[in-house]
Amino acid sequence: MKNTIKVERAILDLTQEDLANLIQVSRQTINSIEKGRYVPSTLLALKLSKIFKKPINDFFTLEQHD
Amino acid sequence: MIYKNICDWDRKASEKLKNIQLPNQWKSMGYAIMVIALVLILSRKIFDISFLSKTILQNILIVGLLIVSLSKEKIEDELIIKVRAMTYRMAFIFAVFYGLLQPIINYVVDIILGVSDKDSHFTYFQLIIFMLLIQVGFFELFKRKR
Repeated sequence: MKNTIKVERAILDLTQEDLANLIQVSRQTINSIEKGRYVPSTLLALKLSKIFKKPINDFFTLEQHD
Repeated sequence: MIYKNICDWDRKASEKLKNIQLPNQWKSMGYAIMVIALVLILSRKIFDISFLSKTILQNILIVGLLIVSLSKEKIEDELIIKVRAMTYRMAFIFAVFYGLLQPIINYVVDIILGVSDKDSHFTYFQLIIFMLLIQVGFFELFKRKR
């Protein structure tokens, strides 16, 4: 699964630390999600959606092998 | 009705067990207990202090490591929960292999050294400490690599 969280974060001018604080996770978790090493839960995805004010599909997209 | 009550009690008990964890502050205490127990075990061996029971010291070491293992991180998020679950699974699988292989290794080493009367079994302490070390070790490693 691909994601554009880094771009969305840049649009809102948020650091990884800021975003992590907003959704109550660690900075390392945001880094892992951005790098595609970790696929977040629905709960976390919905929290991100609320912060970015966009539907989840806008920043998470399935790849062919998913 | 009684069956429903039993089911409710069972569900509540398993929910409590599922979330069995200690606050983050306990982690340093666990490490302290572990270090103290290790120092006492070594002093017992070096200075031949007999009044300190080896079994009690080993149990204290296990308790220290268990406290470390059960302590939460400062930010206990879903990635940490996933890493923790993975390391418990690894510790369990590794312990099964340890249980299967250790007697064989002991037996082979005994043959090589020519010691035939030596007991090739291992103790509960060896197995538990192995599991805890695998869990705590891999958890710290994966936590840094996440």
